[in-house]
Amino acid sequence: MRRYQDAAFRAAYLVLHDAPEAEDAAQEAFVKAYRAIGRFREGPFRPWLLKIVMNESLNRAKSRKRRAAVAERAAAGVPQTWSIDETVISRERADQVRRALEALKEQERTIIYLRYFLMLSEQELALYLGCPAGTVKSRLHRSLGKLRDVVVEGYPGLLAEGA
Amino acid sequence: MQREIDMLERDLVQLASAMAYPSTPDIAGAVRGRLSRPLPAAPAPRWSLAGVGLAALIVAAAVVLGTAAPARDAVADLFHRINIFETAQSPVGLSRDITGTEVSLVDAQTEFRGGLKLPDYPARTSPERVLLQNYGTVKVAVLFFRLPDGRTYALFETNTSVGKGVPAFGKGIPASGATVESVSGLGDEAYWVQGLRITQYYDANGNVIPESVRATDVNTLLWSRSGFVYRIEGPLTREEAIAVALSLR
Repeated sequence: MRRYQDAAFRAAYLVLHDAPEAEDAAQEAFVKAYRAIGRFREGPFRPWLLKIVMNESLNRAKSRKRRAAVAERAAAGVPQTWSIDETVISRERADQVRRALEALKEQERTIIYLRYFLMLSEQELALYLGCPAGTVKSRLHRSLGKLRDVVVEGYPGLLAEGA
Repeated sequence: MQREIDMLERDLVQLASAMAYPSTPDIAGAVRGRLSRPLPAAPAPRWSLAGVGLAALIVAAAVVLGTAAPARDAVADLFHRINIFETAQSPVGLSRDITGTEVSLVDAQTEFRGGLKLPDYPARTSPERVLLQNYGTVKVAVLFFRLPDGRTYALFETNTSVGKGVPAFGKGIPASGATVESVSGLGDEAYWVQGLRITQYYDANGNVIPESVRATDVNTLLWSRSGFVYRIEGPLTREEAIAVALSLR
């Protein structure tokens, strides 16, 4: 399990933006995976597990939005900032990309998280999404297109020449 | 538009690699703690192994696919009693004999500190034969029973006193039509397994005990309760096997 706990925790953190909540969600997901192991068949384990983690995290995020006290802290549902290595990407650019991601629909954002942040292969994504491998490309491209629309509208500087 | 998407992809890759996540907490330990808590309704085992950690009995079902899949490690680590894992090992050519030292029921009970359970279904009977398999810290009693219609089945009970939550036992299932179904209501976890597969035990370090490896294609019900794992092998239906399991006293 230790082999997968990083991926599970990070997946939950991407959705919840809160380490203790992400820990709780990842724990709960592992317990649910335990109880559902009879439904696991052959194939990669990671997408199967991450689907449980993401579902658990998304449900918690929705529940959190309904709780007044936490909603106040969560404001628009995004953290004030993520910790990043600014030698790789500037703080300003990172914040804009993050806010653009948060403006996407849940399904669009999730597929981007899985592909670029959690590094799922297209084959793993196909298992996660329950669709043919060929469909993964088009769904990913569609999500990127939506992200591009958000960026054009709200953060055009990201796409400026020389950016 | 494609150029813009390419730029965004680059940003995503950079942001992902620049992300500094909080340190991952010990989720594995916390989950193990939750899973090892005995169910409130589960009766305590009659034998006591004070000072010895709850054993981890691992049962693995698997597909012969060439290489061990990551699921094996993940599940073995996570579900450290019954485990479904993939194996490259083929059961073809392996012996199907259940071996062990023939002992009396009294001797077996003595070895298990009086903890062996006997079935009340369909009626309280004594086993026709008892074998004791001794794999160091892992001891298994195999009790053979005969039903009124002449069919016989084997009940496997183990002390599983390996401690430290390490794998103790494994069962591999090849792709040749073997199936695993989850069964509810029999303790912590239970599975109904059919089809040709491999059975093997592990030592306390998680290494396969070579002399324990065998093949079987007999219907099997296996379940864990309070850290101990039980198994019924025989020409029983799923319902009959469950009835036997529920009647163990």
